[in-house]
Amino acid sequence: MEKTKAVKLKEYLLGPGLQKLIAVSALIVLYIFFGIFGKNFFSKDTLVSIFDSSYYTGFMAIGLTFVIITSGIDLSVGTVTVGSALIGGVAYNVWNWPIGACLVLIIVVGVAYGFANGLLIGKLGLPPFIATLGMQFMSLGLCSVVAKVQTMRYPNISDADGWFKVVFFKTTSGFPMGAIWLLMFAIIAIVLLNKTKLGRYTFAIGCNEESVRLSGINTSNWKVLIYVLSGFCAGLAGIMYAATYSAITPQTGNGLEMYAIAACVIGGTSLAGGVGSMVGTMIGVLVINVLKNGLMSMGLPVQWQQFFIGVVVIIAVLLDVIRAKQASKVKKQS
Amino acid sequence: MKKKALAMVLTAVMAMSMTGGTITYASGDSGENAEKSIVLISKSYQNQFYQAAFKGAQAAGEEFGFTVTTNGPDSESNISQQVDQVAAAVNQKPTAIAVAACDPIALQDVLTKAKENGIPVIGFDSGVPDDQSGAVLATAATDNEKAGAMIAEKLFEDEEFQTKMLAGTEDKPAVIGILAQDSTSGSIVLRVNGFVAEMVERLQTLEGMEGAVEVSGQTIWNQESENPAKITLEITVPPSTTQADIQTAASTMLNNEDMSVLFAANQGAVDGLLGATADGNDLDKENGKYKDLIVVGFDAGKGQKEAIKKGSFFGSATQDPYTMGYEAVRMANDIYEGKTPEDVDTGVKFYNSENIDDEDIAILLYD
Repeated sequence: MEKTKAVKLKEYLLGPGLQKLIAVSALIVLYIFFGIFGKNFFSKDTLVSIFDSSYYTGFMAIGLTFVIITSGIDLSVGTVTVGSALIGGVAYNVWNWPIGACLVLIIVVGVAYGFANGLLIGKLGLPPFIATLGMQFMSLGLCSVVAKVQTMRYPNISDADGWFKVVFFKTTSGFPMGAIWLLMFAIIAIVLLNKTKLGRYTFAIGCNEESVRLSGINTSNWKVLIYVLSGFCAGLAGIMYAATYSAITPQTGNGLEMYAIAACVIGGTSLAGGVGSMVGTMIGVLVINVLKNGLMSMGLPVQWQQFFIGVVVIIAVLLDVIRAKQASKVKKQS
Repeated sequence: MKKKALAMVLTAVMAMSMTGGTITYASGDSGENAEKSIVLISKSYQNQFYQAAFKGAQAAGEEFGFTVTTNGPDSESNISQQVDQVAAAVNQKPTAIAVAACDPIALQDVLTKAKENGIPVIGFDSGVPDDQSGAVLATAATDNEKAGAMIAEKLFEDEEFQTKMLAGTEDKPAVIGILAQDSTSGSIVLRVNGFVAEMVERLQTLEGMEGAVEVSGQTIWNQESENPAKITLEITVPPSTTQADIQTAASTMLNNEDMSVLFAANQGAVDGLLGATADGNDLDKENGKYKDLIVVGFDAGKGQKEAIKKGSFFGSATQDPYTMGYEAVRMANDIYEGKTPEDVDTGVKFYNSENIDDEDIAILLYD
């Protein structure tokens, strides 16, 4: 008995546990490192800033985690996030819609792009990389055209519709409301991924799509749903982006998806599909934003942040490769 | 289980810093308050214009004992990145922050936070126009009206220019063409205002030209002359700011044979002019198609620098980002010493083929 328990623990630690363990340790190490070497890093203000810049990446990454587990990819989340916020801005500034309706529109735009991706991939059988790459350019162009290539503005906290910032970003006293939203949706996503049919099929499609299909499950419908979910999350990310930054510039957003993909990978979600964790993704989002704010608190320009995110991504995947090798060894031994 | 334990440690660490993080505050404060520091955040980090501003800031930093940190977004349109950067700067609690805003409105919330934290903000270059937060105490920028006037003055001092102007008659007035990229951008409008006002005043001091100078082409600048005009300042604004439209506008101006002087009021206008003259070859003083045309430009850029070096341009004026950076830090020092800072005109420098390679000029000229 003792022996099998030890083997089980070893298997867990070298298995799914390790990646998360490493991600959490990396987060703590980075946080303490910047606390020592950064300027005023161990402060409430900096912690709030870390959250502030996490919201939109966080929401994009939630949707992407589902997609990546199915061994797919969604390269359009960055441009859809900014593009949906841009169109919501057009509704607010040009069409004079009430702010509440604009927020709904942002979600609708996100879902529409997700649905288009889903149809192309699930129904028409396009490779996800190509379909979402196309959608990245389409959303980048189309949303800018709708906005007549003008910067769109959302109300600031002191303006008439400023409540929108209080609800989604932070209160006048500086409480990070966005963190509540992100936490809430992360918990919903954890339940969806681990306790529902949707989650089980997500993993199953990622492991072996063909055998799932042969067992009588309509995989193409589930794939459409998963890309719609990704679009929905991009829409939510759009709301958070608008609440955080107030000004939305046309023809931006490409590249943001890379931070979300990096967050998933750092958190142990495998691009090969079938493996992933929502908790890991959230840790990945925090790692990226601790890096981002930490390097700024050390007075280093933004380019270092990009460099170090790259380093962290490579280390994360490298460790995953080593883990996989070790795990198969352990299995053989037992 | 181990994972959970670590997660709890992490939460504890974060919670500790949420509640104030008293331990680290104490050690951090003693060192930092003694030291004067400033964070400069430009509109875009890699732009050579701002790199020159950073050099100026570093020089002032050494002089006044400031630690200077510089930052800026990847591009001028990356507003969200700049908002994050200014927020991070506020968190660092420096002595002061200097900003050239990509989007002044998007920065209002973080600037309000700077004010709440008692961190003074200084604008440089375009600064933070119409700041509502009250955090921005002063700005170091180019006075564009003065810049325009300075160019008019330089032109007027030239003998060849005066000869050409004096040749103007009622039947065949001498024409000074002005190519303004647009008539709404604050800096360009002010620049043309300054140029026109100074030029009209000076020209009327020439013999026989009193009351004989008119301004035409754009309603906002039009001035009629008392007597029949012998000199005309003709202002052209292209329908849009695209290179194609500016270039077409420049070609149209060049077709006017009476035009003997041309002022291109910013880099966009200069590039349009160069495009319309076969990359400036038609302006060549030896054998160019428009070799007698006196051209003055503004700002810098690769094409313009080449034209100046070859002597095809009479000269150009460049803004002085080095002084902008320098003045921003000097103002931060004033604030630190309890003085009230005032807006500073960082001036423009005139350059031509003779001084373009001088060290103090070359540093200001970006490609």
